[in-house]
Amino acid sequence: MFSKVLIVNRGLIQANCVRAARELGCQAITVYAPNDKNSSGVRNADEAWELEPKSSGIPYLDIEQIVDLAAKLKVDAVHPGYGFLSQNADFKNRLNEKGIKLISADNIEGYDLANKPQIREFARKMGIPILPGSETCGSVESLAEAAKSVGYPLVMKATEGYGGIGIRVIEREGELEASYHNVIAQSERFMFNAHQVYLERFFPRARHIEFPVARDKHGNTVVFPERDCTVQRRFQKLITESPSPFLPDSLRSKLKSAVHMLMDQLQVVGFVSVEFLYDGNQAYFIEVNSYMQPSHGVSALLTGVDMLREQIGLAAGNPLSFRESDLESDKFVMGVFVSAEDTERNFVPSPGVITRMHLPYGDGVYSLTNVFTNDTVATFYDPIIALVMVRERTREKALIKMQSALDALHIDGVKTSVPLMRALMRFPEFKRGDFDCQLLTNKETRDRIFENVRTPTDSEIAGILAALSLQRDASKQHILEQARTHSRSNIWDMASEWFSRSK
Amino acid sequence: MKYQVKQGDHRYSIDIDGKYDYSHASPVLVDKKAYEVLIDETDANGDMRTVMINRKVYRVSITRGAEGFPEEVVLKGVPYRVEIDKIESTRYRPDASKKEIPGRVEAAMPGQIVHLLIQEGQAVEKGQVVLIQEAMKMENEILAPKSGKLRTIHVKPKDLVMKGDLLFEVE
Repeated sequence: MFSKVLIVNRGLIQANCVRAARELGCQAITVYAPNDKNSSGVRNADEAWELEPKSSGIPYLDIEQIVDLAAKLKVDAVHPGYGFLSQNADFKNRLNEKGIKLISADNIEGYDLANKPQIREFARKMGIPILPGSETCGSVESLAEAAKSVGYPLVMKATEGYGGIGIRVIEREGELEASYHNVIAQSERFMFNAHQVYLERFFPRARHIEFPVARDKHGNTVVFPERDCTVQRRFQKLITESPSPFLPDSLRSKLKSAVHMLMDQLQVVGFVSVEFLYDGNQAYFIEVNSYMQPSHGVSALLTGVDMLREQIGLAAGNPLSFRESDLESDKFVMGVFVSAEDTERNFVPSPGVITRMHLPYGDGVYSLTNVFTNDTVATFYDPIIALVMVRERTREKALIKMQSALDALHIDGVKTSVPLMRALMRFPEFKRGDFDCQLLTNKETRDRIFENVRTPTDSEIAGILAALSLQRDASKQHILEQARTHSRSNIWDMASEWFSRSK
Repeated sequence: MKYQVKQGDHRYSIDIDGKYDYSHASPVLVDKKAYEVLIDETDANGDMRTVMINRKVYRVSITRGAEGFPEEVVLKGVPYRVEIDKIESTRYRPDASKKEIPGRVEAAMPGQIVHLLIQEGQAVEKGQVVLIQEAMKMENEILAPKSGKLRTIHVKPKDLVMKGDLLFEVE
C-alpha cells in the first residue's frame, strides 16, 4: 500500500478521498486554492499545501506546480478525484517520470480512455453498437464534411470532454461554426487538446445507462449493477438510480458481457465506468470514463463496497477483495444531486452564502455534502452542493422516501434544485418511468412538474403570505416613523434609511 | 390594511388587522373567510421562514422584486408567482402628544404625488387628508399635522418627490 497520497481536487471528492486514504493507513496530503482553505477536505487531511494562483487558469489544473509539489513531498501516488486532471495523459506521464502513480485506470498501450473517438472505434470493431459519429476533427471544414454523413441533429463533443463540459447539441448546419468556437472556448479553460472535437448523432429520446467496473492486474473483473442517470441538465446528471428499473433483464446481461469483453480487450486496471445510451430497444456504447464518478456514492450505498478505498488499493497493485456475485442485492438506491441553481431561469448558478442548511435524516436516508451553514457557494466551480440518497426495496418505496427526505432538506440563502426535485418525485411521468434525458431541459415540462403539485388552497396561502410580508414592512416603517417624532436624535432617520436600503 | 393580491388566475382580497403581530395565532381575512395565522420562525432579516396557517405548517420563502414588493412565494418548495394589485390606504399619523406641532410636512419616503385634495389658502382641520402620495405602490394619505390655513403647497400631481422634500406648510 502507498504510504503518502496527494489528493488534488476540491469539495466533496477531496474530503471523501482524504477519508479513504486515511482509512487505508496512508498519509493524506492535499492541496487547496486560497479560497478553498476552509473546506472539510483540508481540515481533515494530515497535511495541506496552498496552490499559488497564477494570473490565468484554475490552480487545480496547474500541472507544473502540482507535479513539483508531489515530487518535493515524495508522495507515492496522486489521487485526482474527478474532473480537473483526472484523465489528463500529460499529467499522468509527468508523474510517472518522477516515479509517482496517478490513481486512475490504466489500460493497454497505445490507447487513451480519455480519447472518446478512439475508444468508440475500438468498441465498434468488437461488434458493440455505437451511435453514428465522426472521428476527431480540428477544423470547421472537416466538421462540416463529417456532419453530412452523421446527419442532424447531432452532438458536438470535445474529444477529451468530461462532466458536461465541451458538449453542444446542433440542430442544423448553420450552427456548426458558432458551436465549434463555443465548445473550444469552454474547453480551453478545462482541457488541454481543446481544439479537437468529434460528432455523434443526437438521440434525444434515450436513457443514460452506465456500468461501474473494477478490474485488477490479475484480470479479475467485477461489473457493478448499472446506474440509470437519465435525469440530466446540460449533460450533467441530477438523479442516479441503481439498478435501472427500466432495463430489460435480457439486455442487461448482454451489456454486462459486452462490458466484460471490452475491459479484457482494453486490459483495464482500476475503476472505470462504461456508458451507454438506451433508446428503448437498442443500447449504444458512448464512452469509458477512467475516473471515479460523482455518482459512485449510489453504487457504494447499493453494494456496500467502499469504492474509493478499493480504487486506491487497485492502483497500489492489490487484487480485488470481492467478487461480482458478492454484489447481488435486492435493494434499490436513488440519489439526487442538489445544485445551487435557479431551475426556473434555466439552471443558472445561484451563488451566495448558505444562511442555513438542514440535511434530511431518517432510516435509509443518506446525505453526502461538504458545505454547511455560512459557507459560500461560488460560481467558479461546479454548483453541486450535496448528494441525497435513499435505499429501499423497490423504486416505488424509494420515491416516497425521497419525497420525505427532500421535504426535510432546507437550504436558505441560495436558490437550489430542491423545489424542482421535490415536485419531480410527485410527477406522474417520472413515477411511472415515462421519461428520457430531455425531461428537465425544457421550461414547459418544468412548469408542468410544478403545476402538478400546486393547489387552490396553497395559491390562497401564497396570497396571504405576500400580503403579510408587506404588512410587516409597513408596520416596521410605521414604528420608525413614530419613534422619529418622539425623538430629537437622528438615529431614527439612520434606522429608517437602513431599513429602506436593506429591502 | 387591505391588499389585493393576484396569484395565477385568482385575485384575493386580504384584510390584515394592524393590531396583531402574528407571533401568536391571529386572524387574517381572505375574501371575508377567516384564517388563523401564526409566524413561527423568521430569519436574521425578520423574513418569514415557518408559518402556521390554521395549524398547518408551511416552510416559506418570499422573493422580492426591485421595488421591494413580493414577486414569488415559495410554499413547501413550490413557487407561486404573486402580484400586488392594490394596497388600500395606510395612515401615518403624526404624533399628537407633542406640544408644538410644526406645520411643515416633508415626504417620509420617496414617491409620486397622486392627488391634491385641498388648495393653497384653504383651511384644514388637523388629521384631514391634504394629499395622496404613492410610494412603493401604496397610496399614502398625507394628513394635516394641525388645524390652520394651508399656506403653501410645494408639489403638484404627478410630481416625483424624494424623502425629506417639503410637501406643504400649515400656518
